[in-house]
Amino acid sequence: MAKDGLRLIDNETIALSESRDLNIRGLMEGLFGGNRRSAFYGSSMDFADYREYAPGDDPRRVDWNLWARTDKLWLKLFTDERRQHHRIYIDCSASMDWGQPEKHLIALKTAALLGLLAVNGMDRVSWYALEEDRCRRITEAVSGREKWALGLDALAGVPCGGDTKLARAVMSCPDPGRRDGISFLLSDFLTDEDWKSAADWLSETGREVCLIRILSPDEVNPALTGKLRLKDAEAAGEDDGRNLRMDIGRERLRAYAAALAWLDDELKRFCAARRIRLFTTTCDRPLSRILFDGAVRSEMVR
Amino acid sequence: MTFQNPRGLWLLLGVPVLVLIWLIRPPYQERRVSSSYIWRLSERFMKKRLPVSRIRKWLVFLLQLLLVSGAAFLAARPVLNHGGRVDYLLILDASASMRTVTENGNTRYEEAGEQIRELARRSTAEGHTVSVIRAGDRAEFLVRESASAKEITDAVNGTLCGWGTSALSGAMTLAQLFLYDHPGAEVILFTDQAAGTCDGIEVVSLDGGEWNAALTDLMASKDGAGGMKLSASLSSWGRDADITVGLTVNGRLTDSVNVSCPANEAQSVAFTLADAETVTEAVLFIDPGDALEADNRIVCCPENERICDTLLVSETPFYLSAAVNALDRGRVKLTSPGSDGAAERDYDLYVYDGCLPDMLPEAGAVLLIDPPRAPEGMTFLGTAEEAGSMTASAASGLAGEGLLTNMKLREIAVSRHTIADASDDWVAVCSVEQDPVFLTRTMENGTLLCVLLFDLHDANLPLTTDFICLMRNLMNAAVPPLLDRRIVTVGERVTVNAAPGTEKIRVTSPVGAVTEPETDEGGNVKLRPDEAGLYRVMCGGEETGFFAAIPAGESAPGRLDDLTLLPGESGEEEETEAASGLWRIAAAVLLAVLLTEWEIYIYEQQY
Repeated sequence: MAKDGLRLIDNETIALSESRDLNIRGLMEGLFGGNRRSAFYGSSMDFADYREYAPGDDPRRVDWNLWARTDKLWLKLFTDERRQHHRIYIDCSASMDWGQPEKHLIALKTAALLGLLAVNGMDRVSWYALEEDRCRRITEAVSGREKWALGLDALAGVPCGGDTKLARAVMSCPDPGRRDGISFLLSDFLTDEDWKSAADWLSETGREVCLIRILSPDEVNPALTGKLRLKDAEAAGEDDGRNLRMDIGRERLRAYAAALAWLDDELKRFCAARRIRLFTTTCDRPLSRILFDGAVRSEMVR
Repeated sequence: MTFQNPRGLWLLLGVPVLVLIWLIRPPYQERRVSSSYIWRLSERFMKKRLPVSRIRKWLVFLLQLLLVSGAAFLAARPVLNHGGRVDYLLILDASASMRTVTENGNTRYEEAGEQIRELARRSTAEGHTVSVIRAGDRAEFLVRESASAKEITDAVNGTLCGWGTSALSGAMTLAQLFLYDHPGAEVILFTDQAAGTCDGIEVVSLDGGEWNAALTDLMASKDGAGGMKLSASLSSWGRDADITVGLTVNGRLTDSVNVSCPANEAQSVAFTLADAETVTEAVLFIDPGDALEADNRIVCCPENERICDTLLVSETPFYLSAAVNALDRGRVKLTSPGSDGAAERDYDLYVYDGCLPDMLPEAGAVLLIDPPRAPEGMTFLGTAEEAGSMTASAASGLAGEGLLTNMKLREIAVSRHTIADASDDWVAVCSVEQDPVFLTRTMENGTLLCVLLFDLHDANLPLTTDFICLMRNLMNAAVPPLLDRRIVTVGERVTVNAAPGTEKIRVTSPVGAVTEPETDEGGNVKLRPDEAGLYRVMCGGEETGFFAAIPAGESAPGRLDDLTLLPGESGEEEETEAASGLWRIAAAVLLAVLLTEWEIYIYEQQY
């Protein structure tokens, strides 16, 4: 089973990930025992601040050089290093079961790789499947590469289908965490649902939020013409309002491109206003390019 | 409104077919997409559509319907007759075969005339107009757009049937032009030929299957013993018959023969006359009581060759005198160069062998054989020693053909010849290895000058029959026969070669009409007989004649094929016409429909 799970990522990409790390821009809180700078003062080697000496403080932490200059006792403070807990939410709607290879598979691989970067940085990672209107935890939080590898088996078995209500599913997450890591949301965002609420809700936890948008090439440049009845993959039945009759010609394709560009702009505007990081990719790109090119450029990975 | 081609309305079947295609073709094809979200979102980015674009598909459908309906309408050739007036165009065949007598005792031509008069009476009474074209040796309008029955009747009564073929092609051209001016006119052809493929024209056949026997293709040839052979073809069109063919010579019945003649097969008939010299007029005739008399008699007027006096100037006149004496055409004088006789000028043909007089004769024909110096308009360049074959020059033309008549020019070898550069006045008749060796020109005074650029001893020409033919052709050129042809078809040309100085030529037609045609500069007259029968020609006290026969095709039943008149253009007050050919229209409509669909497809494909 572990071997099947590991097939999600090839060895070359795993090797490349050794030199990469998740980029946490702010100071989080987290738990003890990690490797990330936190908002707390602690005993790391990184100087953080001075504070006036108070009775009961450890005299070994007094800066005697400063006492000589100022004739006051100052204590040297150092940052504390904590372990972060990153959460990765994967949209498992039917629309993700599209493209060659499927967007869903790319989402799983991306989630696996992000998890690898997390455990490489001595953090913990949890994967969640957004199914219908609920958020299902795929594994317990994993730390260490061995557990990560075991977690891949569960990740590889995540199915996709149905109609995911993005906002409701995200908000139903039982342990979204607070100021203790990055929340990744992987989806195509091709939904009428209120994905903005989902992103806002994740931001409100004080965690950093990253949106990864995965599209298929034929969603970017549809090769459809003529009189067509477009059947939505997530439609409940024949009478679902999402099924359309459309006369697709030059003008309609132009409008499609304009709508797609508008949605891109909307995502960028929204994310920029909330300091949410975003990048969009297509499922036909190699995984290494997605992570080490797109993700790096969007400062999710450094 | 009437339709000239109601079959074209079958194209209307395309309308229900088109409707059916629109009904059964799937309006929308189902395609699965990952999400229709962007497609729905694109609605707000669509440009505001014009009302016409919303009904575009219905407009296309309507256009296709109109196209099919219009094509059917045009293919049916509708005719809008304002006031009910019809323009009749009647074509009257005036060929010789229309002289055939029918059961009623009238000729077919008279029968046709009667039908035309009857149609004219009826049509003019109803307010229609009638035009009549007579298709004789040429096509011409007898009357044009007449509404008067009397005028039409007088015009038809004032004509006679012709003796030649009918100029039907010319009549069709006139009819086509008439149709362009009068779209919707009804064209009716009165003829005795069976109607084959005729489009746009109604054919009234006057062929009642009458029997006709015909004598044609008379050939007269003299044999070596002074006799003459006459041969002809005898045909019986319509039935088997036993026919007696008679021969009168100089007005006296001399021979007859019975011939069993199967229907529609030509039989050969031949007579032999012992003494050709005494024959001035030989007539072959039949009297079977058939329907057409014009081809029952055929006349041959043989002409004895005219006298040609010849002067031979040569040191070695052996070959020349042998050939000229063999022809026996008149006085022959042999003389040597430089003698007094070489300067005589009262001959028709002068032959100078190896010499060239200072002054050339001013009449008749002159042959210079291997002249020591170049005649006028020619320069000698040298002598070619290589042997070669003498061949006719491609550029010899009519002048050369006359001089080479009956000559075979097989294996005529010339071992040495003179190379000459001749001016454009000279015509090369024969050549050796591209060098002209036999040239001719007509001098300003009418003298025919011929030059052989080799010695007769350097060629085998004198040893062949071609040499005798050459001398005869030269004599005929010097003294041409009075008539160039003795038996012709009506309408063909006959040339009367009058002797120089002839003042008057009198021609008597078969019906006794006498004419005196004027001669041209060369003293010739060109005659074109327009009646069948024997024409007599009096010229300078010499009397002869030629026979004009009706065309052989007029004796046999004929058939009309590929007569097509295109409908005229659409007129404001007249009629609307479509292009001919139902299938072409159908194909064009199909192509137009396909192109429309394709254009829409391309429009939808383009991004």
